[in-house]
Amino acid sequence: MIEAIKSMSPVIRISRILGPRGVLGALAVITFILVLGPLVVLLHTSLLSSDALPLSGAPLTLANYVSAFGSADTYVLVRNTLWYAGGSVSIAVVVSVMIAWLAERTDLPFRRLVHVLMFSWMAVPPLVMAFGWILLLNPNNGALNVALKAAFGLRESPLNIYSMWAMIAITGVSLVPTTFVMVSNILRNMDPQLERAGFACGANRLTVFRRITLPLISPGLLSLAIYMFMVMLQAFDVPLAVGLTARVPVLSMRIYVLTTGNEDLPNYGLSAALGVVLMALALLLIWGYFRLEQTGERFRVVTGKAFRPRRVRLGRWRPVMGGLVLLYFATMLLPLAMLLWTSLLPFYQTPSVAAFSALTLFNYRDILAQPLVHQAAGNTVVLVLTSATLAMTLASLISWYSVRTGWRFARWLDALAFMPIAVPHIVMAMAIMVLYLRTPLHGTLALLILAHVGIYIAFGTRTMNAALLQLHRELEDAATASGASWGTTLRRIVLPILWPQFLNGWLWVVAHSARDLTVPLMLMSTGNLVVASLLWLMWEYPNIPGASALAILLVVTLMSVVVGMQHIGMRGLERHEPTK
Amino acid sequence: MLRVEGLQKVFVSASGIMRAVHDVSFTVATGQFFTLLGPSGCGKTTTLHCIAGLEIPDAGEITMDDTVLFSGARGIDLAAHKRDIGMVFQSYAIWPHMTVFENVAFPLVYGHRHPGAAEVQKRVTRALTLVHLDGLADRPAPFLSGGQQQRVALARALVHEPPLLLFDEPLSNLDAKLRDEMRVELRQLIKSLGMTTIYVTHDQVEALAMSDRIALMRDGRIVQEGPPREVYFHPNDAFVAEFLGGSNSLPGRMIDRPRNGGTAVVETALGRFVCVPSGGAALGSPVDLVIRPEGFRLCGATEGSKPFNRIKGKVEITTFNGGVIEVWLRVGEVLFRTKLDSFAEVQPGDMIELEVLADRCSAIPTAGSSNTAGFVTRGHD
Repeated sequence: MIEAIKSMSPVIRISRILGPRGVLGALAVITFILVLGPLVVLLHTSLLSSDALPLSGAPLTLANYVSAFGSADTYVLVRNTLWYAGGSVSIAVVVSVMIAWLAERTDLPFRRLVHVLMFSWMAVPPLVMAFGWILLLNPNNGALNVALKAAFGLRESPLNIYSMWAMIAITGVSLVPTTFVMVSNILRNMDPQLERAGFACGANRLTVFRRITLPLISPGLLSLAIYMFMVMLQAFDVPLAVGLTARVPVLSMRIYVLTTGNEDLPNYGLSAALGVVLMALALLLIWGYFRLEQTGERFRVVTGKAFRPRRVRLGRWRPVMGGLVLLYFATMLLPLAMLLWTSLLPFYQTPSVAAFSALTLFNYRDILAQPLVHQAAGNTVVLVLTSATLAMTLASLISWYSVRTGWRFARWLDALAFMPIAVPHIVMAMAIMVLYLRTPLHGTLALLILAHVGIYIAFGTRTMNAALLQLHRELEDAATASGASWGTTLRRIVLPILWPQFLNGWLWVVAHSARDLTVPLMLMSTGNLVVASLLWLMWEYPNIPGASALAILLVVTLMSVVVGMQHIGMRGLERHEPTK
Repeated sequence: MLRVEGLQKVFVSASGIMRAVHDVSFTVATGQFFTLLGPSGCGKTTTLHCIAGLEIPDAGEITMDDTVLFSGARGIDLAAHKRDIGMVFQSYAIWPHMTVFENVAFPLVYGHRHPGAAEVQKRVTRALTLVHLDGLADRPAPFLSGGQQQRVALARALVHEPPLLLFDEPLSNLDAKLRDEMRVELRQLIKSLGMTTIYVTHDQVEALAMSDRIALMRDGRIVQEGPPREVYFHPNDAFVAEFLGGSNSLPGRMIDRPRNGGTAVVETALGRFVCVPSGGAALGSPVDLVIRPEGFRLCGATEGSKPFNRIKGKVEITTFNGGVIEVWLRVGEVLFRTKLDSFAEVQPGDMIELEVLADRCSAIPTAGSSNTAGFVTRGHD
C-alpha cells in the first residue's frame, strides 16, 4: 500500500497548481459550455426568422412562436404528447407498485430473480423493444396477428401496433423496470413497524394498506410519477419507430422532422420554438416535482436503521401471484424472442415449425463482417466510456463543492448542472447541433460526447450529492488534520469510499448512453455512426434480419456489462458493510 | 506553546447571524492538558476547528511556538494540512476502506513528512502498541468495536508525534463504563508522552478529571479559566456554578471585604457567612453565596454554636451512596443539597446543624434579578 503512493495523476497535479478555487472555476467554465451555451443558442434561434441561419446576426422576431401557437397542428401535438406520456406512466406506476409490493413485502416465489431481472432491464434499449413489438403486432404480418387469425379464423388482423393505444401500452410495459426500482426503494425505506402498529390496533390488511401504507408512500409515488411524466414527454425512440407510421405525431418527433428536414428544408426557427415549448412544459413539471419533494420531507419515514420486514404470507394466492409476475416477464421477453427468431432467418417469416429448418447464423456473420458495423461499435465504445467517465467525474467534483464547501457559487453551479433534467434530450441535441453547426466539431463523435455529458451530468450530481451527504464530514477532516492535501483527500478518502455509488452512476450513464437514439440520430453524420443510429438505419433500409441481429448483439453486450459490473459493485459494497 | 488571541468567528445563515466565537483568548503551555468545556453551541468545537484550520476565523491570531497559524490582521492563514497537529474526532472518522494499519499510517504516508517504508512500519507498530492494539494491524476498519475505533483514532493522531494534539469530544460515543476507563487511560498516556493537548468536551466530569486547566465557554466567550479545583470550588459566575454539577445558591449582600483578598463576609436571610470572594463582587453589592454539595460538615451534638457559617434544618431525604451520603436539608424556604461523610448517621426527619466551610464557598455577583434561593440543578449532559 505504501508503494503506490508517490504516483500523481494529472488531475491531481492540476488541482495542486490551481487549488480548490481554481478547480471550481474550471468546472464552472465547463458546465457553462455544456449546459448554458446550448440553451442560450436555442432561445436565440427560436427568435430568428425561419429562413435565417442560426447564430447569424439576423433581426429577432416572434414569428416562430406566432406560427407555432397559431396553428391547430401544435395543439394536436401537445395533446398527443400529454396523452402518450400520461397513459404510459399510469400503466407503469400501477404495474410496478403491484410487483414491487409483492417482491418487497410478501413471500412471492423467486423475488430475488425479480430484482435482478428488473435491474438488468436497464440494458435493453426502448428502440429494440419497439422493433420487437412491431414484428409481433404489425397489421400485415405481425407474428401475434398471424397466430390469432389462424386460431380464430379471422380475416382482419385483430391487433394494430400503429395506434396511440398500442404505443401507450408497449411504452408503459417497458417503463415498468425503471419505475419498479424507484418504487421498491420507497417501500424499502418505509419502516414496516408503522404497518404493524396498524395491525396491532385491530385494522385488517386492506384497511392498513388503504389508511397507512398508501398515504405514507403517496408523496413519493406522486413525485415519481411527475418525474417519469417529464421523462416521457421527451421520449423519442418509440414515437419515432411506431408513431411515424401511425401518424400520431408527438412534440419530440416533430422537432426531429423539422430539424433534419426529412420532409422539407430544415426549419430551425420553428423547431427551436417547439423545443422551447417542450422545455416550458418540462420546467412546469420540475417545479411541481420540487414542491412535492419539499412537502414530502414532512412525511419522511426513513429511519436509517436496517430493518427486516416481516413478509405477508400469500397462502393459496402465492402461485397465482407468482404466475402473474412471470406472465409480465414473458410479455417483456416476447419482443426479444421475436427479434432473436428474426435474426436467425435469412429473410423475415412468421414463426412456424417449418421455418426451423431454415435457421442460420448468416445474419450475424454478415453484419460482423461489415466495416460500418465495426466503425459503429468502436464509436459506441468510445462514446459510452468517455461520456460516462466525464459526466461522473464532473458531477462528483461539482457535488463535492456544493455539499462540502457550502460556497454560494458552488451551490449555484450544482443547480446549473441539474438544469438539463428539465431539458428534453431532443431539445438539448438540437441546441448542440445549432451551436456547433458551423464549427469543425459538426458531425464528429466529440459532439455526441458533449451532448451526452451535458445530459447525464444532472443524474450524476443527484447520485453523488446523495452519497456525499451520507459521508461523515469528519472522515475528510481527519485526512486534512493528518496533513493530506485537498487532492489527496479526494483521491484517497472520498473516492474510494464512494466508489460503489460512483460505479453505479457510471454504469447507469454507460447503459443510457449506449441505448440512446435521440442524440446520435439528431447529430448523425457518416463519421459519428454509433450502434443505436446504425440500428435505425438498417431497420429503415430495410434490412430487418440484419437489424434484429444487431439489436440482439447490443442487448447481450450491454446486459453482460451491466450484470457483471453490478456484481463487482456489490462485492465492493459488502466489504464496507460493518458487522456487529 | 499555543496562543489564541481575540479569536472571532461569525456564521451567517438564513435564520440570522450567529457569533460562534466571540473574542476568545487563551494560552496553552507546553505539555499542558487544556480543556474547552461548555454546553453544545457554546463555540468550543468551532474554536478547536479554527486551531486545526478546518474553519477560517474572521479575526484574531493563532500562533504555535514561533509559527503564525492564523492572523486576521496580517492576512496569514496556514493551510490546514500544513499545520503540524494530530486530531481525534467525535465520530472517530476511521476510514472504512482501509485496514487498521493503513488508517494509522496515513499521516506518515500522505502528510508532509514522508519517512521510508521501514520507518512507517516501525512508527505505526509503536503507535498501535501504545494504544494496546498490537495484534489488529491487518484488520479491516469496519470490523472494529467502538472502543477499538477510538484507539485507532488515537494512534492515528499520535503516530507522527505532532507537538499539539486536538480532541473533539472523543469519549462521547462510548458507553459509560468504557468512558470511565478511557478517561484515566487517555490522560495517563498523554501525560507520559508529554504532549500538549487541547480537549473539547461538554462533560464536566471528564473536564475535571483530565485537565490541567479548564476554560469554560458560553455563547462564544470564555466565562472562566483556571485549574479544575479553582473552577469547581470558586466559580465566578452563576453559569459556571450550575454547569459544573449542581450548586446551592443563597442570595445575600457583601458586608465585608478586606482589601488584600482573603475572605469576605456575606449577610443572608440565614445568617452571616465567611467565604471566598470570586468574580469581583464589590462591597455592599448583592451577591450569591455558592456552596458545593461537598462544602458542608456535620456539627457534632456537643459542639457549641457559632454566630456564622451555620445552618440548622430538617432532613428531608437521605441517599446512601457508599462513599458519601446525600442529604437534602430544609432550612425554612430553602432546600440544600449536601454530600456528607457516609459515616454520619442521619435519618429523614432529624434536626441537624451543618457548618458551611469557609474555604469551600464563594460569593459571586448576582446575575440578574431572577435569582432564586435553593439548589440549582442542571442535567449532567
